[in-house]
Amino acid sequence: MGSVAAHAQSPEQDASDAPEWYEREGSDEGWASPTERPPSPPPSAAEDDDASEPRLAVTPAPSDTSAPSVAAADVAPDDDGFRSGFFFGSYGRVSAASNLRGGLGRNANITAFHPRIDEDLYFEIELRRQDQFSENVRSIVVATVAFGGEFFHLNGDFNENVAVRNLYAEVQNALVSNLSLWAGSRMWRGDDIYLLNFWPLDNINMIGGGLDYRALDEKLDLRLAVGLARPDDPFHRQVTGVVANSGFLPHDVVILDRPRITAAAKATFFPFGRRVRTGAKVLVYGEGHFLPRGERELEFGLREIMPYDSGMVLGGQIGGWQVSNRAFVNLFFRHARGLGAYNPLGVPFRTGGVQTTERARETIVGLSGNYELGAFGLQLGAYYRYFRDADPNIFDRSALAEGAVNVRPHVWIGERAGLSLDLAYQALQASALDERTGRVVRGGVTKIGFIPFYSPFGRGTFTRPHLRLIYSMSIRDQGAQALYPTEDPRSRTAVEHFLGVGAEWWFDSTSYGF
Amino acid sequence: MVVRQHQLRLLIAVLAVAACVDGELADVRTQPIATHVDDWRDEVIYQLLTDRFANGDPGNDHRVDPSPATLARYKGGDYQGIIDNVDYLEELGVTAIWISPIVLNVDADAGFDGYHGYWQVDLERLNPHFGDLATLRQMIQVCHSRNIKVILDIVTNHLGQVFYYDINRNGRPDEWLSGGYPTNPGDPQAPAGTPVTRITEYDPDWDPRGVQSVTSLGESGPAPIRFFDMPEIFRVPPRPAIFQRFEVYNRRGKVVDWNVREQVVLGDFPGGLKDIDTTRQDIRDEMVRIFSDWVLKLDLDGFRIDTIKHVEHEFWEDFARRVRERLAAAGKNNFLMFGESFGGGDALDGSYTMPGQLDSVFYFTQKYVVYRDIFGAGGATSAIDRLLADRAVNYGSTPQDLGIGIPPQEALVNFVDNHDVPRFLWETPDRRKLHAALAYLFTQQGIPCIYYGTEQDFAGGNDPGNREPLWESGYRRDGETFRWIARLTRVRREYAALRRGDFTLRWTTDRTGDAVDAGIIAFDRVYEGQYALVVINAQGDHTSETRSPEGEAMMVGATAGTVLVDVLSGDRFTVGAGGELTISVEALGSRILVPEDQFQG
Repeated sequence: MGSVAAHAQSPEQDASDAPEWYEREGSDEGWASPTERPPSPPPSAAEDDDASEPRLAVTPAPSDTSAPSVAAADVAPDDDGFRSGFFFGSYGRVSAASNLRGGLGRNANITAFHPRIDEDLYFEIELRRQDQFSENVRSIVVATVAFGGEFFHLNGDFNENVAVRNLYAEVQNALVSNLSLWAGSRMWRGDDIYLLNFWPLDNINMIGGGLDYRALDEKLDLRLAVGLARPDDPFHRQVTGVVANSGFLPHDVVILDRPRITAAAKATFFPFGRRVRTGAKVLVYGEGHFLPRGERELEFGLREIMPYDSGMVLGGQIGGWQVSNRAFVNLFFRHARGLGAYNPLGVPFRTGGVQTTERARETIVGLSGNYELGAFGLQLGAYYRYFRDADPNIFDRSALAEGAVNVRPHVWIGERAGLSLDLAYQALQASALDERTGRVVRGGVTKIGFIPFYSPFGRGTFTRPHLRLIYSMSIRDQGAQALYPTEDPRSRTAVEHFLGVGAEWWFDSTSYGF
Repeated sequence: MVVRQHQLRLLIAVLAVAACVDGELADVRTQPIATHVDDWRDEVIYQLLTDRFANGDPGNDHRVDPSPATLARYKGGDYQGIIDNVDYLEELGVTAIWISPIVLNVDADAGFDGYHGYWQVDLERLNPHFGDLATLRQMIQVCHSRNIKVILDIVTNHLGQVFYYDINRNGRPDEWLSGGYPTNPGDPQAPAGTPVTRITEYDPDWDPRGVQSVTSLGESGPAPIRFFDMPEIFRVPPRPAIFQRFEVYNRRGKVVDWNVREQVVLGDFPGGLKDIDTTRQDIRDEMVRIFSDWVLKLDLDGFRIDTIKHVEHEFWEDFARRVRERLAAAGKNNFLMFGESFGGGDALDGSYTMPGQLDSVFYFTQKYVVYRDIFGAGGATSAIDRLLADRAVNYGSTPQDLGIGIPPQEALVNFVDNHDVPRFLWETPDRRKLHAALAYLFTQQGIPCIYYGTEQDFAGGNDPGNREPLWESGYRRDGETFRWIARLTRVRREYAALRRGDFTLRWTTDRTGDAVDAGIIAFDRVYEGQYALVVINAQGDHTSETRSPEGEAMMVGATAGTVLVDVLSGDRFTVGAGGELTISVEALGSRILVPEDQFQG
């Protein structure tokens, strides 16, 4: 996760708006793992029965909870809020915007993770079946379908970009109390930095399985997951046609087939308990990545050994919350080496003969927070990232440091309408020089935005849906302009406007805050 | 409060971003400009093809074909490879490297790659196959720290195949056979049809009017040109933008008769390399700006300039003068500019060294007269007399203003082979002859230039056979030729007379075969009281002596009684009365003699 191209090609973030070199020189190739999700409120907030939380958008109806009922649409929640039945959840954002120059509004970002005020279209729908059995055994089957890129009403194309982001079954209280097991295809992720649309720590897409065990009166939460991914690209899989033993049509032979195995573990400790109004949490996190040796054919009739590769991630997070002010703060740290610095769904190398990721490094520090007081609120998101790719050259546009900081104060006008001011700055510096100017490759973008919004659920930073008017002005410095090819109008445009109308919603979606 | 928080976060972000990768760039963020050369005659140039010298960064091995059979494709060499092997160069005695053109090239054309660098498409961008600007700067810094200068190969005559002539005006590049049409069906005396000719819009033949559009009905005026749009192989409208204007090209088609000066100057270089109208002042201005900028960005020490005979002399008068002025103003002096005039003939080659033009040229005439015909084929060594006589006439005799301070005649770039001709050992597969030729190369007047791989006994034929990856040699330093070159460069370094001394031929001969002096080349060199006498036997059949069959001895510049020591063997000779000296040299052997009191052991 977290690599340049991972961002650039993620479905919910506009790859085309990143500078061309940035995409090309990036370290990943496949679709990125981060999907657009609702923010991850602090555990207490997520489990608090605050009426303003939108997650129970569908009104529960009484039903028998002692046995599975395929007919039941909704049943009454159990003591801990579990309900049996069919459920529908969704996340989405849709906007129509102009750049005030006759074109579509589009983002003006240069960093891998960036302020989301001018983000692009994305939505997902979750279909879920939940059942409770005897001895408190429960099952959850989740299917999440996501849509990214441009939609039919924008481009007239009846085909959408669709991905299955979740397809798994989970059993709770399996074998022993407080033990959950799951298997299937799943997004595996923790807390995010909402303003930057960024999961700095755990954010894995895999097919596999895992477990979750809560101990010490639920003060300790242990999670493990193991899975694999084998993207259909020449780094992981190669199929070549050969003459069949008989007949006319060629026979396909799999030459290279090496899935990348990822194992992840997370331990979260709540020193004051999970269900307190003022609390804290500390977590440690780790990943191991393993890619078997393989062999593939080159275009010149030669064969090439793809050596064994591996990587790791170590990280941590500390955070705290206060329900009364809907306040929380999370500080993230992540350090990755080797394969761990690259998205499991991507190809570390797009060009060149580098074959192992041994030299790759990534370090991320992130911060997110929220504070609300009466009619006022303030959101914060920031990150710093240092990334060095795997080739031996120390000078490289793929070796960079970058960061962004975004603050969004808002004021409520009445109970359901409000106005946000969005202030952000993002910058990057690569370990490279601009060939035309001889200067260091670096740039910065400052954003100033205003978001009048209407929230039918009323006050609260994370109440949704929101209907919004959005205006954002992005100001590129000369370095940021120089990141684009000179043929690109953005290389000559210091100021970018984004004026539009949009909506964002989420409700009853399980696939975040795992 | 909100504003203050924002400012604080902003400040933190900026500081954090700036802190980390800046350190890596510290040494290359700027490139101080300095003069690194005292006297170019002291230098030993090593010509390397960047793509073939060493592959230090597999990260830029895009489209690299590892097969040893496909020498016309990219092989992976880069600037990092040069950095990694600077010890190799140093041990060989190299003091200057000449690297391939650095700018962005058309990546591929007709199954061939632009690995050599002569298919330029963007004069202000680097070829990513070789590395980036920071690595290139670092490479130059590393070289300078080892007292190795860096010479850049540049091209002003043409660009790569960036456009086609839309001869049939159908908006796409075509090749077809034209002709065969009835000329006059009613006339029994009329030819049965028009001549059938092959027309290619990529690289049409020379037409003094400019390439013409043709249809089945005949010509229809000048053919428009259309730029390719294939960004995946950098085959796109060239840059800077001035090169996207049709009028900056001569558009007369390719040279078909090399003896017609107009074609040579105005025609496209075969292979579809589009000839630039270098008579235009705006083009000259751009060339001066672009290539001077590279020097100032990189701290280069010289230009090797490609295809100079395809550009009018007035261009060089303008270009050379203004480049020197611009560089001198920035503190860069003694900047060497030498050109390649392959196949031009001695008079034409030398004409580019006349006052106001280049400091030097590649000494092609010598390549054939001396290295091919004498050392390779055993021809009479008296050909050198005529060669030097021509040199005195054909080449500039006064240093260029703001140039390297040496008359071009004395600073010609001497070479045994290069990337445009077969390797010496391909034409003459005899290592002893090569060693004899190298002895002459490193002791004669001028600037010696060795082609990479010569030290490893590479023996490739014509392009691309002569462009072998050097890594196939294993970079061995114990081979005979490597050690011989290292020895010769050390001797040259130790004795200033061999580098800077005046040159006087003492013995050559018309005789070959069994003659007593067959193959003898003897010359002495004098510089500020230092003296060196070089005697080489260029034939391989027998020991020869510096005397005629009639007994006439060689006269040398050293005074009678001077004891000369052969620095290669330790043998001693005493100069006889009147300066007579008879020395025997074994077949294909060499003697480099210095006065005993100057001998450095």
